[in-house]
Amino acid sequence: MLLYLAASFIKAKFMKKQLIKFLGVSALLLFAVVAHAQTRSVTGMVTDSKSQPITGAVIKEKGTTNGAISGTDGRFSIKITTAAPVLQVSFIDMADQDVTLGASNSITIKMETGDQDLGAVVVTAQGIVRSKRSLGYSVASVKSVDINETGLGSPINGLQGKIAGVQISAASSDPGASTRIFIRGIHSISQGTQPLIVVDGVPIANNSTNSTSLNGGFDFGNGLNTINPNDIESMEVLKSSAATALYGSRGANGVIMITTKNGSNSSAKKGLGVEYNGSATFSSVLRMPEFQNQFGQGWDNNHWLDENGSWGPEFDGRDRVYGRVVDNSQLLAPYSALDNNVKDFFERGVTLNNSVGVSGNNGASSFYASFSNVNADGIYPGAVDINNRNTISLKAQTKKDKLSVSGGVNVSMTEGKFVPTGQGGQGTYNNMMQTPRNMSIVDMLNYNDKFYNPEDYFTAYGVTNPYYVLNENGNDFNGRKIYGNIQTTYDIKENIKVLYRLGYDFNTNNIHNHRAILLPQGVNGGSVDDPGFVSEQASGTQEFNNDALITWKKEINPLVSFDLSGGMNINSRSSNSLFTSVDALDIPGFYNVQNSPNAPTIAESNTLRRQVNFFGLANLGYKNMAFLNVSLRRDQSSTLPVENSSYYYPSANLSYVISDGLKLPKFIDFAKVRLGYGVTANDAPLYSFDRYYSQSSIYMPFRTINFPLDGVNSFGIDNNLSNPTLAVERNKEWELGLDLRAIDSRLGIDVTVYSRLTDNMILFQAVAPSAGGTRQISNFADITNKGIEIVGSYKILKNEKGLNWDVYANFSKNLNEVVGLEEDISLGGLSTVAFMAKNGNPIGVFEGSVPETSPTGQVVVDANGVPVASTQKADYGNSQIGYMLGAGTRLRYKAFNLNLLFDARKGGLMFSRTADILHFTGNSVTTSYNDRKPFIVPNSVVKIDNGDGTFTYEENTTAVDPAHMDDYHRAVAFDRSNVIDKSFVKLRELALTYNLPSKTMEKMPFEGMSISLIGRNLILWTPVDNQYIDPEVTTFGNGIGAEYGEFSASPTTRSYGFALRFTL
Amino acid sequence: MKNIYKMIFVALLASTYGCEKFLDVNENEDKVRVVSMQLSLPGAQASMAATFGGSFHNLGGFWSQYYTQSPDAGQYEDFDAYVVSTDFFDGEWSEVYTGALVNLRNIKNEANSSGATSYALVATLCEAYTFQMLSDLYDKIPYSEALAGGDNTKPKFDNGEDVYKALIAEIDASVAAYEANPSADDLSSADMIFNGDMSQWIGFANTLKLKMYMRQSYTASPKGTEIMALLSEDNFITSDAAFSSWTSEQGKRNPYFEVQVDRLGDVNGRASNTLLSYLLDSEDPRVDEIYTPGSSGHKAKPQGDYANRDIPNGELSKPLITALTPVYFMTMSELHFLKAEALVRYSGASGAQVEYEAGIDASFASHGLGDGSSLYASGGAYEWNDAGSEEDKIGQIMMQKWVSMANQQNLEAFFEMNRTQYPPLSSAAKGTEGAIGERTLSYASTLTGYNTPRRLDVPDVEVSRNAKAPASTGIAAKVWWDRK
Repeated sequence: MLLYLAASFIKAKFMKKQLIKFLGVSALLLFAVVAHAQTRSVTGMVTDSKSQPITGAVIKEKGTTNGAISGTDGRFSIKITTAAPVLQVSFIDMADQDVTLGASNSITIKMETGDQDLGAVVVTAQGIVRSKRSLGYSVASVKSVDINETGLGSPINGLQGKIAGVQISAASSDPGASTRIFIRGIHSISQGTQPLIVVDGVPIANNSTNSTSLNGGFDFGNGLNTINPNDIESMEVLKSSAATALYGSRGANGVIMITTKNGSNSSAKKGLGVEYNGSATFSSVLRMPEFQNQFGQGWDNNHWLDENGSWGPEFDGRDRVYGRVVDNSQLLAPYSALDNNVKDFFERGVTLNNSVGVSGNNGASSFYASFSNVNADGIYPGAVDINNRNTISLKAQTKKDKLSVSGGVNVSMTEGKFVPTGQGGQGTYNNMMQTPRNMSIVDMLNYNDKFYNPEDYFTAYGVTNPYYVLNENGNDFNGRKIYGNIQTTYDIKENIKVLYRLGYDFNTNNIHNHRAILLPQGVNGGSVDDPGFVSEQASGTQEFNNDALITWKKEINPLVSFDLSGGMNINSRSSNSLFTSVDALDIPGFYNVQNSPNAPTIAESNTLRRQVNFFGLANLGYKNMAFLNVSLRRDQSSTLPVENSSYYYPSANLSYVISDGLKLPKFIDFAKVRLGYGVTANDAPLYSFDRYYSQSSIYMPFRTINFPLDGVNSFGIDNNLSNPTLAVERNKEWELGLDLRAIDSRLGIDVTVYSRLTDNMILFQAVAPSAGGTRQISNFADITNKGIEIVGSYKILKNEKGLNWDVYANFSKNLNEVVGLEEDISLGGLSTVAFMAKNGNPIGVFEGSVPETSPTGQVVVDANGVPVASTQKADYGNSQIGYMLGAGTRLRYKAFNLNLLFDARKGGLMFSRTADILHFTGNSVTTSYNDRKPFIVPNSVVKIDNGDGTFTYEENTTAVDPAHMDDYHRAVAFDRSNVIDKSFVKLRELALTYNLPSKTMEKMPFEGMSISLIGRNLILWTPVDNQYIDPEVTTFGNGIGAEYGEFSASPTTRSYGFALRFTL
Repeated sequence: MKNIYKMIFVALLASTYGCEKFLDVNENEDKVRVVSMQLSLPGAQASMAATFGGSFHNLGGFWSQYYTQSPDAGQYEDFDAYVVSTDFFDGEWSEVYTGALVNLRNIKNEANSSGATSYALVATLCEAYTFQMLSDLYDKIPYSEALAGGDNTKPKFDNGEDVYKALIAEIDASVAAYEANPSADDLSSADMIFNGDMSQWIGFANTLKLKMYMRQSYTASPKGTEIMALLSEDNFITSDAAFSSWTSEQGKRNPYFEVQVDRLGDVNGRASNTLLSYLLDSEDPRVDEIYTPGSSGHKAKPQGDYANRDIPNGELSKPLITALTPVYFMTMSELHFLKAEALVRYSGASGAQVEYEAGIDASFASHGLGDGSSLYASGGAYEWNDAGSEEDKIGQIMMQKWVSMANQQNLEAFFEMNRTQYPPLSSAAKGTEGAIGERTLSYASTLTGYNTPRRLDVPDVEVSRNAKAPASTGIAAKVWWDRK
């Protein structure tokens, strides 16, 4: 990135002429400001480049507080008081424009689309639209094109690498999977990490429907990913507490504000408009593990034919039998590696994405209707990994006199199937990872074949034919989401406005899961037993929001403006879920919970939480140059003890446009400093501070005893002790920023530093069982997050008719630390490698086995020369990313537009079960170390027990021989090798777009049309110690636990294809 | 215009007024706040059964030398190696305090406040049994300050001897309260041990006291007087105190079967030659009820000889515990042997033979084998030796008690073995089997000399959260009554 910027500066020197011209104009303007005032009225019209009127453009007379907003017909009227007036015109999605006003009292201003990050107004908390210059905190604004350029079905994945301080990761490449978002690090251990998603002013549920089971995990996506991205007009990411304090106890993890198309915003045109967006993309495996191709099936250097690993002898290419003896026959093949035996299993995935939007606008009223369909079939062979999503969106608004009413409803229907992740015979990918390097997987396609059926499958060790589990077991997901809102505003007076909004969001999800009966018979007896299983889960969530807002504006004098707003929000969220499952099925192939002699297991869950919130905010502006915003919110939440249930969340922020107030070097066009402080919080988890009884379930190792027993039911008291003093956990955040545009507005730099303290975290404290419980929810320990975000862009070439070349980049670094934690807290993870919060460390410490060493630091080995694990586990490091960097370039030449984006993350660790199993099976390239020739572990010793509690250490002379090479590579002492560096650089986006020239368009019914070649995640670079997997994947949900890593996740994909867009 | 203001005012007022009730929804609909004693007792008793009939039963099986680790698997090598990591029984410790004891305490408190003396008695006795077993296993345990919830999250540890005294006082008070004013509650659907038979519970109180007094026979103050008073009152259990409400479904089966046999595949515990050789040598027909023979008849491994893979797993006899095998808390044979030993110790042995033989009969009967007369008849392997010394008689009784407790009261057998040193520990060198009827020092022992396990250390789950936990003593340290 620095190179890019340096290059840009050099380039700039050759543009002296323009610079001088610019400086001249600037100087002129400065004089103009101080010139004598003269009052007159000017009327005008704002249009886009196609002469369509623009509603809502902000027109200001430079250097004064005079201003106007264009109406639905694009017209405005403004009072002018300066002698040589310059109008500053700004509109979201458009480049800011300064227009020098002549003597005429009428003007038409044509705006050009394009310049990013210069939008004049942004949507802030509670849906309040503000001018960007007045904000004392940083807001990342994103436009439709950023979201949709690569034709995604997800509204958020397109932002990967584009926003500083925001880590966006797709859980997997499986169609429809969840996306997790961390804004400025992790601020809470128990209270969730995902930002609040607000659509058109109304929060929506963003729960992820997933299972993190190690024996068959799945991920059917989250609420956000059910939104049709083509319905989105713009998106704002509010990162700091200063920006989200108005959301009080819901704004703790940041807020993503989504504004959807409604027929009246900028993308809409007057009259009837039709917009089509379509894409067809293909996907293939992005990252295969690096396999060794030197050694074949076996163990201990023996050619055992029932082994699930490649610890056999070196390949010799000679014909050898393999697999089980069936009907006195056996398979025969040359004993040599099949380089692509895993890769060949996968096919090309296809995603078809179609979206049609119709809008109408007659000035006073408008509507928008859309339909979209995403039809995806992933890379597993057959329709076993699919996602089919249909969305319908209907919105309308009308205005009559002082009353305006708007409303909308969105429906999303998703059907999906997911190939389970994880260990054991159920994980298709896991089964493949345990196939010897000389064995063909594609040959196993016919799993009824006598050599490949589960009864005669080659191995005896808990895995089976991947095609069998892929086709005989499965799941079906069915999700519905309906959300929308009704909003009315009424202008009581010219300067007083009231607003009422009702928002709702319903979600229902059904998941059906089944496993076939597999009870292998016969002499070979198979490898996997399963009596069959079926489960059905029905769950739903509902959210209601009632909002009222009253706003009063006052221009105290021409220099000082003031506005005051007060509002309230009543929020209600509920959920319900019913799960039933049964194992041991009677009738093969019949997947219904009645199909078993066993009583089904049933679990029920119902929740309800409510909040009543009041808030007020005041804004003071001086000369449209300095702004002070203060706000206060009071929340009362049902999930806290009554005495502690209400809280106040103050915030204040200051914005000062230095370039207006001070004399700055001439090359600086615009400079603004920001200072903000805000408080947000998390209320308590549901039902967490009272003690309850629930149906008795009794612990035993590996199993439980479950009531009812023999017709008698029982209830026992929970392990969670009560705590009537529980309080909220609070975030207090400072933020300081500088926004700078210079060199003829070619260079844009925005720097933000922040420091957030999350104190009195809500955590479950472990309690001595002898007290009669094992945990108690309490407030203790803090987390700090400190960081810096830098966003830069430079227009290297700016030529309206010729070549335009922009580069842009964003960099962010966040430092995270847990403070005041007395006892380590588990964040998930596994027993072998734990995932912990530890005092004085960044959150997410990996802790696992290390080799035992002698007092002098030499490695202790066993009788076979293999290092022994120390009884003391050690910290490997943590999951925190060191820094994130997104950098891209955009080239525009006439009708062609090329966009290229790289996304890089540096630092942080993750656990990889894929690495683990490949070390175990001897399939990873690391296991061919030293050609598996004997070697003595360097600097190793043998530990001799003196029998009196002391030990002597003698130099080790035993080499690890080929028969113990597996013991070496899968030694517990080397568990560290399963925790890999998750740094990466990805070629995240590539889009080459051709906009059909308007001349061509004239002969066709289209107004505009473009064709793009698109690609996503095309290339992945990782450090040398990650030879296994795309480090963005997780199988551990989308909270903190997700940062642990993956447990035999399916491989991710690259995708490429083309997109077609047109408007009528 | 004014109407608008009025409406806003009314709306705000209404919403504020309704606020408290609107927000009073933090009640978990999937759980309950109050549960009847009737509904919470079965879970508490099942928790006792799962712990003492599950993991501790398994441990007792190894340390009483009924079971030993199979060479073909390795889950319980540590039991035979006499090393138990301090986190091994974290789950059991948690379950017993938070599953059994806290619910029993709640029942007891509620019963006491509502005058339900029957529930109070049953809960007190179940609690007393549980605390007694824990204190015998861990020596010092949280007792007097335990189970106070958030009021005391770090209870102090009490000495075993103090726990015993307090428990006996509690038992006496509870029995007295019940007998003075027997409440009419019908416990039959809640009491999964005696099906609400209160006379059995009175018997249980006396039998438990007898056991606890007998446990102190080698301490500085043995309880001969108290014991003889109990014997003359003779109001003991007349049937086994056992939990037998198992059915043949996952999660509802005998705890040992559920975990060891079904979940872990029945590959670890195999017959120890200490018991098997004794049974075979005595031609005791219980051998086929205690063990399932291997593929070529009964075979066993010397205790802890798992490093020697001389006999394939399939050829070794293994513990015979089925899905429906009851979990025994106290048995009739145990009672008879306690009485026999008491009579020998404190009453010149008169009548001891009758109780001794009744004990063997009760054991045979519980295995469905009629009586044991062929073995204790004249010339039989278990013939009562009336001419022997007091110690001989005690040895004879304790050997039979050891045999009768196999698969039924493994942990209790371990305590009694430590108390009386029967079967005696062989003096043969490590790696050599003792004579028939002797215990073998585990081949895999990591303790020094002839030390054997005598207790467990308090688990990490307690120690790490409760600074009042005593320092680890190691498992070879004797508990307070272990004085022979």
